[in-house]
Amino acid sequence: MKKIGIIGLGNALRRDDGIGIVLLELIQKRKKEFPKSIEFIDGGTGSMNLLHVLARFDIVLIIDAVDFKGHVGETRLFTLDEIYSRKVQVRLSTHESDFLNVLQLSKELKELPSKLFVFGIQPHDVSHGIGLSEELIAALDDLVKKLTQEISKLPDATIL
Amino acid sequence: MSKDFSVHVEHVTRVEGHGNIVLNVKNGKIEKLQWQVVEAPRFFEAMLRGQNYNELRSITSRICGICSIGHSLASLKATEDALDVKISEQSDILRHLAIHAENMQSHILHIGYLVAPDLLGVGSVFPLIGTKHTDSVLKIVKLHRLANEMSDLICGRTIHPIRLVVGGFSVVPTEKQLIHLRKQLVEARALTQDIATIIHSVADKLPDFTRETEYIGLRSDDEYALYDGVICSTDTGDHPDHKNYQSIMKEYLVPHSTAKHAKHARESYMVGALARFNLNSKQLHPDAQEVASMFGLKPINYNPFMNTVAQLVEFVHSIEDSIHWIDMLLDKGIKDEKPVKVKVKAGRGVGIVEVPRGILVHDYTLNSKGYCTKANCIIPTNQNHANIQLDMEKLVPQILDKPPKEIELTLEMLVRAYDPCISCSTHYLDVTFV
Repeated sequence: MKKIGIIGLGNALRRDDGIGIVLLELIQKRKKEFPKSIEFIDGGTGSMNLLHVLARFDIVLIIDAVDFKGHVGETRLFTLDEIYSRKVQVRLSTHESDFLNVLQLSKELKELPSKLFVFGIQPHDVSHGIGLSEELIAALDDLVKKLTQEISKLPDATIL
Repeated sequence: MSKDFSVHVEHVTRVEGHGNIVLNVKNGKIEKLQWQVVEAPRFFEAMLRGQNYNELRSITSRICGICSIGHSLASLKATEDALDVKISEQSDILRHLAIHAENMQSHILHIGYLVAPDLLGVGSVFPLIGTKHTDSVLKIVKLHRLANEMSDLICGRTIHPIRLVVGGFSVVPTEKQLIHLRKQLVEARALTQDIATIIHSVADKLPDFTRETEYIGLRSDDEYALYDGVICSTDTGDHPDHKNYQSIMKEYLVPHSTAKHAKHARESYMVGALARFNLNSKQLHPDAQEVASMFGLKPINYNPFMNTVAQLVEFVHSIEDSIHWIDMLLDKGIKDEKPVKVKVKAGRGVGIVEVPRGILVHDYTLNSKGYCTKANCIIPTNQNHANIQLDMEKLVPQILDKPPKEIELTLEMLVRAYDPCISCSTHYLDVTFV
């Protein structure tokens, strides 16, 4: 069975930037509904530590705030190809190294998961502070539903 | 030599966060030279106010993805100081292991991913793969991974260490896990020696620059101080009253920077691995002292570029000291202890630890219900900004006859030597469709 990692990223001290962590915590509460091959990980602000996390999985779904100029709470699923071909430029953290560099190193080390997706959520307010914006709080139920659907579409991830 | 040129490095790369270097030279004279920190100020002290004592660790661990263990430990020590909580000997040992894990993780990342490219003449670690340096990169990755696994084992997870709680640990590692970790640490000795040899072979690329300054860090009679000790200065010695830290770390604001600066006995001081080495080198493990000798590193060393070497020395010490603590735990037998029970009361507590980049202080005031009414945090990088600026002011006149590109690289290397973490709480995804 393929190992699947669901990784929440974000900074909970920058309001909507923490949406990846909030969604991870919500979905984790229902982890019994998911196959045991799925591991849920709070990746914080990512950084080079992600390299080691990625190495453990065959399939990875990253949950994170992504400013793709959509409506607040809108979601998009980005594929590895989209990220890697620079059709989208994803920068996961201002810390030390951007995501592309981590992916590149992971690839060079032959550790890159065979499938990798980013479940991006359009944020509204990423100023310093604790707690999501009202707009994202209102969208939470819908976001959990969409995220559950995306997880269930992953190979070997049929929801019980 | 009379010449005009300017250096403007916007967002120095391979450091944590955003800082700029500005240098304007006219007719061979320096008109402007500034180390600018341009990030929005962080407001996490305000975020702590009104929070329950049990939440403070969890919030502060989010300040920084790299120093989350250090922030957690400073936070717990401050909370436990305020509430008069004494942790068990086992928890104390496990916290020593936690701080070693983070030190190793951060130092090897800085040495291998951020500084080594300067010494090997490339822009980043990535072009090194597929060259004769591939093996070195793999060794760095392996050591970084070990430090990550150690953090996960002791703290629950690297990024937000959930096992570290007020009064001790929520979960402790098993004997079997500790034996496995010990084996990995023993195996890491040879890898670390290889990395030391590689860095040594290019150490002549580290600029030979000195500027006398003050070094501040923790010091202890019992050990190479990381988790515990008294504040100590190379100028003024021990300052045992930990609650009076503000008489040592005098923070102030400057117009060209959004980050606070700090000074004590002089115009600036330095914190971090080199400061710790200068204060405590005699307490290093003999193997670590041997690596220091190999590089000619002796206290007091006033070359900031040697901070990276001091980190390498500390990495060796952390491996050996971790093995020592694990042996002690295995000897005593690991107990499934619960955290010490807390009696809530009003009070003020100050927690001070050494994190990879230097001395870190958390200071909380709690009310009678255990809610935080006041908080202050002194971050290592803020304490180094003034020292970086003064280093630049001495360094640039010495290298003014070099080509501007070389001056630029040397200044960037200087900033990187301090391993600054400018934007601890900044995180955002920018996506541009092209």
